[in-house]
Amino acid sequence: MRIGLISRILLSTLAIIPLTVRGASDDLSREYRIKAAYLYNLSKFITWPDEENMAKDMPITLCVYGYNPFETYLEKLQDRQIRGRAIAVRYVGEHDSVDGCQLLFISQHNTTEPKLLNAPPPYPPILTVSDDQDFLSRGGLVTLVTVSNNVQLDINLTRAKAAGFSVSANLLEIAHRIQ
Amino acid sequence: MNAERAPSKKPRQWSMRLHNWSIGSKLILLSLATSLIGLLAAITAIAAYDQYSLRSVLREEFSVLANVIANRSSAAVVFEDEALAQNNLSALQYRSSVTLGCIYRTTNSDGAEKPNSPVVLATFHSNGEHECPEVKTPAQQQINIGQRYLEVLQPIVLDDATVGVLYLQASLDETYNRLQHKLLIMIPVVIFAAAIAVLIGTLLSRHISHPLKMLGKAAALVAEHDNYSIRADKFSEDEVGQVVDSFNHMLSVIERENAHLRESEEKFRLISESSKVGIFQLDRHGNCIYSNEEMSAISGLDGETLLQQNWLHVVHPDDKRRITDQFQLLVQKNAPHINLDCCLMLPDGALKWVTGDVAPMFDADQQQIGFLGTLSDISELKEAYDQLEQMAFYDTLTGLANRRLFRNRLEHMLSNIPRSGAGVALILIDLDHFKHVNDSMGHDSGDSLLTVVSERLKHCVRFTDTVARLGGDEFAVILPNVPDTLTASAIAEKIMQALSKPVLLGDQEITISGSMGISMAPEDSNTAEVLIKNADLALYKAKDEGRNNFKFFTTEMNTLLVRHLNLVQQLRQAIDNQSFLLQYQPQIDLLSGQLVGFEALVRWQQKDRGMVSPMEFIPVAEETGLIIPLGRWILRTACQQMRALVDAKLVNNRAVMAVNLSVKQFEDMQLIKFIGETLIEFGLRPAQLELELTESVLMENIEDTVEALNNLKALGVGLSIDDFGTGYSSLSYLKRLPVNVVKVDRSFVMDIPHDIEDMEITAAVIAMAHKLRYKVVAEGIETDEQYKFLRESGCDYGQGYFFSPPLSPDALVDFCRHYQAELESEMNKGR
Repeated sequence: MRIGLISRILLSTLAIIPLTVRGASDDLSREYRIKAAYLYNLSKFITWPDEENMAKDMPITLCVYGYNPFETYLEKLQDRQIRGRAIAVRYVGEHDSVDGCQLLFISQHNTTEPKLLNAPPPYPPILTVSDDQDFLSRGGLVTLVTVSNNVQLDINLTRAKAAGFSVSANLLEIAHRIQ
Repeated sequence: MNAERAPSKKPRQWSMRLHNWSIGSKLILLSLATSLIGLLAAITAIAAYDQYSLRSVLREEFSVLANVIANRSSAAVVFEDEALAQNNLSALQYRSSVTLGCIYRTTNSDGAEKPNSPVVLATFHSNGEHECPEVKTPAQQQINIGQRYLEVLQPIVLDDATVGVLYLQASLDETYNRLQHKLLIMIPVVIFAAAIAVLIGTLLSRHISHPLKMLGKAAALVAEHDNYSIRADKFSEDEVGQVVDSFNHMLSVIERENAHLRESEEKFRLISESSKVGIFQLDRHGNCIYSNEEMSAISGLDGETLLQQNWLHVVHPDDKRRITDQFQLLVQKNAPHINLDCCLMLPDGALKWVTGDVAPMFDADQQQIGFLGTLSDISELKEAYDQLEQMAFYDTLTGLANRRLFRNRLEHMLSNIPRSGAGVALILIDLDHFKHVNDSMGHDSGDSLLTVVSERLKHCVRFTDTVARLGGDEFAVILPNVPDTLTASAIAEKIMQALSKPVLLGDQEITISGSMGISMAPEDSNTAEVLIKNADLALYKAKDEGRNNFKFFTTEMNTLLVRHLNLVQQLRQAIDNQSFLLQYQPQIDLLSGQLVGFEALVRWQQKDRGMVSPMEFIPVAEETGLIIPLGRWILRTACQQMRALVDAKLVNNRAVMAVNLSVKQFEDMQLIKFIGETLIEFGLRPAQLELELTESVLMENIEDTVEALNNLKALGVGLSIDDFGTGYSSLSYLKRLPVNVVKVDRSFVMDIPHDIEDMEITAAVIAMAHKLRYKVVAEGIETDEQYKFLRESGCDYGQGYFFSPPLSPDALVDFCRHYQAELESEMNKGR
């Protein structure tokens, strides 16, 4: 019994130590891990305008514009599928073309923005997602905002529809804001 | 009735009790049971179906509900939106039966899937008691309906991947409540249905049982009053109505049958009462239960006594044992029927002969119910029968056994001769010269004599001996238990003495005698036929030896008989083979020496025996009737010879052929016709034929003979009497005979010239014959002295060895030739 008690105390101290050491960087890392999953899940509730006409073996390409906050989390999504399609991940520079991207994540930490946000209709069939709170007002379609440790989802439904996306009602239910 | 309804003290089975219920009760019960069982079955089926369909509906409803909620919750699960999930579940509150709803997620917020340990995301419960159970992620929707709860496990799927699980739990109390309500509603329905069933059952039972009850009453009434004219009322045309019809029909049939039965009983009573046959009925044990009046008349017992004692009471003691045995046979051994033939001894001592028959009676089921018998008084019949038997077996005149009974008794006694010991003696008795008595004194006297003789014979023998009259004057005595011939001869002696006593017939006293032949069994023979034949032979022997004596049969007699029979046989053959021949002895006119005729003499030349004497075979021929063909042959041959002699001119026209005629030949009805035809055939005059008859034979049957002789005489032929003087012929008879010639017997001629007395008789006979205008012929002349004496005595003709022996036809011709010549030369000498 005595031994059991001692070992328990030891174990609990050992468990506390790493948590305190990892600190804030761990929280950030967790946030983007969740956001990576959000991107994936988001893709499941949103159908691309010409998705039906795309070749079957053509992957859904997730592009990250400029700064990549996801570390390697997105790569881990590559062994999953969306509606039978493989997932491809591409990192796009500020000057690179975004053609071939189905989803384009634009981090709040980017200083520049791709042009397509402000482009007039017809809107390109690229789902633009950002974690910038004002993204929608700047012509973005979806924002993932972290509010008190929870990720909030805002959707510019009007623009998304105009761009030819169809958005699942389920997604709309969890959306924090819909424009 | 009592036997069928014997009260049983044992507790009866329920089913037995039900069995005894009235039809009405049974019908009500049946109706009630039917409706209740039907209702219960229907309710059960409906409830079961209701439960089943309710659960199907629930299952479907919850399946849909789970699907909807799961679909809606995919985003909430994926994005771990508890509030949303909670919100989705909150819709369950509108289904009051739902007790618990849980949404689990199987992915982490970072997207890692944990399918085996879903984590509760949101919970709904209606009354706070439930916690979400631990579940495993199902591949598809699972609905499990238990006793109290319905549970749904619904995977929450997003893009083919299970992201969470929805668990729903609903209470089934609601369905049970609904069932309960339904059953509650059913109770009054059941009660109502039961009431209706009882009502219908009552009506139905009244409809059926009432007519049946009435039918039963009618049947009871019929039974009570034994009145088959009562009829049951009919209430309907259904099966009960048919039963009533059948019942009434049955009553009609019974009524009719009853009438027939009464009629038939009346008929039986009438027939039985008026019957001349006694009729009686016995029960199974042989007790008399009915007898008609005739039974009383036959048995001499009144009806009451007959019923009490049975008529067997009066059966004669001699028959009682036999009749009782017969009845035993009938009653105990089931004999089909018995014949009764017995003598009754009536209470007054009178005897009656009765005959009857008893046969068992059977009812419709072939069960023996007794016996029916008849009895007839056959006393008169019996008397008549006895009389008939008397007539059949006894001689009506003397009352002695007749030939048939004699024969029966003899055979019976012969078959009962003990192996050792005494035998049987048979005595045949013939009265001597009974015919004379009959002829001279009339048949009545003859009958009286026979009666006297039979009485005397009866007195001579023992009770066990049999005296019989075989016919005419023939009697027989059978003596059983005769040890030897000495005893038999003693009795024969006794009989002879008894017969020899004088008999008074009318006013005449006569003396008779008898001849007897005796044969002994088993010494002489064992069979009746041979024994009688042997006694007969002995009887003839006795007669031959002068009558009035008795002779025992000897084997020698039999030898003679055999010889006699052989002779008969040979004689027949001889006639067939014509081995006879005729010899002719010339007859000479004693005075003139002229040849006047011939006597034809028959000779039988036998191959192995030589000449057979006519004395030996003529009697046999007469006895057997062979004399008739033989006689004809003789007649014809003699006539033929005569014709030849006449044609050869060896004799003159007056010469006569004498032929011996047997009286037996008169039995040949065609004799006279035959003689006439033969004479015509050979062209002879009747006078040229002379027929010789023997005196003694003629005299035996004088009346018949005279008639026959007259007929012959009318034909014109000559008649002569042979052996004249040897018989007893009275002169009155002789005078009546239409005779021309008499022949003096050779016995008289033989003694000439030694016996003076005979010579005188001969002379007297010749004289007497001449007085009667007969010519006289002497036979057997052998010497000159005889010839001379006879010529001197006036005898007309003669024949014998002195003149010529009998000659064969050839020798006869020679004789005639020479005799004529000699005679003529002697005449010439004499002149």
